[in-house]
Amino acid sequence: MSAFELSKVVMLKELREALRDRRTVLLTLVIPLLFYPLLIGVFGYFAGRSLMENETRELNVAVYCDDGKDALARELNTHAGGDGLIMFTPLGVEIPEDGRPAGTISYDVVIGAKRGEGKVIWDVTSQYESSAEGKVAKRRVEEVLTRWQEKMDLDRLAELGLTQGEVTPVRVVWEDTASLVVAHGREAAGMLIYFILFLSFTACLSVAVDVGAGEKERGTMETLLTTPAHRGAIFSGKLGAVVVVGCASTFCSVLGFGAVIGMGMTSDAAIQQLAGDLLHWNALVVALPLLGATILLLASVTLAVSMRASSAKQAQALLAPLLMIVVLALVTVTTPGVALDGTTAWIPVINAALAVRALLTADPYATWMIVLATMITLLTIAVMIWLGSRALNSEQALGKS
Amino acid sequence: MHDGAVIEVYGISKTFPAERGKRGEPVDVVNSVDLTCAPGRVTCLLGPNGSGKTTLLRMLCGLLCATRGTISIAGFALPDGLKDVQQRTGFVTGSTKLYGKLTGREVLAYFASLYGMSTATVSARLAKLIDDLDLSEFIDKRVDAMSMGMVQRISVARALVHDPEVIILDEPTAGLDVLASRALLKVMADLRDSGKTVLCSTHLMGEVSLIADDVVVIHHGEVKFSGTLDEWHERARGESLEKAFLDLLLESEVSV
Repeated sequence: MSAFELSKVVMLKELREALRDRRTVLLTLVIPLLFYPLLIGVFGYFAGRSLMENETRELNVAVYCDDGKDALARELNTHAGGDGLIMFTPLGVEIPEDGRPAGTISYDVVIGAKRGEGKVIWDVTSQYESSAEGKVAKRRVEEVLTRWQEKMDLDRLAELGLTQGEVTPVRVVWEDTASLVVAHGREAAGMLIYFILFLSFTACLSVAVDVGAGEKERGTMETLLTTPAHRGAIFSGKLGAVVVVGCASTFCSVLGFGAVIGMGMTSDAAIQQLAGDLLHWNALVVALPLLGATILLLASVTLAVSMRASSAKQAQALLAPLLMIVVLALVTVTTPGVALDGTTAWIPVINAALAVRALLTADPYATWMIVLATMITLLTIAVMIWLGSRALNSEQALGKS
Repeated sequence: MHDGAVIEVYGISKTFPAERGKRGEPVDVVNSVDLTCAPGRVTCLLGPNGSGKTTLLRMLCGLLCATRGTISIAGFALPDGLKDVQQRTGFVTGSTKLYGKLTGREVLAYFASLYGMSTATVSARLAKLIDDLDLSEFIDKRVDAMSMGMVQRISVARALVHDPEVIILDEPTAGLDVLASRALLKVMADLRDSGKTVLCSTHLMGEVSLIADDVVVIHHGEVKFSGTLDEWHERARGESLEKAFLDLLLESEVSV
């Protein structure tokens, strides 16, 4: 029997065992499949509800004005839109200097207005808190203040006998010509890659511990090593199983993501279009092999570590810090300013993930860096396979038994 | 000891280095052991716990490398002829575990493939093993759902799946009840009668008197007695084998 056939026999046996293990099936197939629908469903529900609540809740604005008791508050209320969702309440004439005045904690925004000097009619200071709710309140109040300001501008121009065009000789209009991929592709692709590789890695980790250190601990490794099967073929077979599970996990997470978009779970047309632009066939054809290589790298690392550990517990202790390193590396990919360049191309995992991101977003400047990242990835895989096979050939392979 | 011996071991020793990160001296577990086993005979390797039996047997299977000495099995020397040796050897230990999620049949088919057997040969061989070892009642059960005795019988079948010349068993009856132990001893006797070379470690004298043709006593990694069962009985001088064994251990302790 050739080494390839032996590897296949080992791989099929490992996969059969994995498929009969509920925990593995749950972790590698079910969770990745449900991840995106749950993430978008739950996150979208809470985020949407929170946004809706912020946009429609009644805002209370305190107005301190040094001229007249409540004339300014009344004036602002006339610009508030008439739906009663923003209420300007006059509180007094003493303008707060610094910080929030006592007794205004229940108000969303505090406005202090005093008569200006010279041609300035009003000098207005608005206080708000930069929480998520505070920012929405600020924007909504700002809209009212802008309308009031525009009305004042028009009144001033009318007094001077001028029109708007006469005081605005140059008008500049900016148009955003970026496609969604250019505008948001890096961040979106980074997040997509992060979740795909994170879920694949956890799947690889679970199976690698089981087929490596777990087998030592259960005493089946000793039985396996009494056969004349080539150690490299055994390692390759086990690696194959870990990779297949990792890829299946990736497939399930992409399927789950596709279901979210395809089944209209997100009604946001921009997200749908962005997903379609990122996951188009041309990009996938070149990105998927590299994504596969990244999964192979993660699988070979986890299996090599697992093979060198003497028990499943030790393997988990060794792999836990590795999980954190991989998570940190993948978080880097979601960081907007980080790109595939002469530095990042040399760092395993980060380089491959950034290369996949560059391919999905059709980054025209990254070709040679993608080649370099691929070479580094393949080299790291080779080293890991060598380390893992070496561990299987040594007496350590028997574990502590 | 035997002409035409299949297992020939001369002066082998095994020293384990001090555990990494811990203080201590290297440990000599097996020390200059000579051993020969002939076909058609059962050799029982006797020794208390920690005497070096398992290490010696693991060296014979190629799981561990001898620090010194030579090992030859079926004409192939270790470690160079490892694959040939493993192709001709079946190894069972009392602590052998099988893949819990697989059925007995799947386990046997898997190991048959690892020994390079073709699909057609595997079917015929499995049928014979199921018949010979009386596995039919539970062969399609998952290993997880089997009793210890059933698992051990599947383990023996697994070790015999490639029809090896040499069968090495390391305390195969450990943890088994009387019936299961007797059934296993009968399998060993049948293997001996069919001309196989059987090497079995144990510390149960009852098993030795039932099954052994030759006896080797090992203590502190050294051979303290080597001879036929009759010679072992002679040494006992009418006393029980167990007492003879204890006396021998005591003598070796004094000489140390």
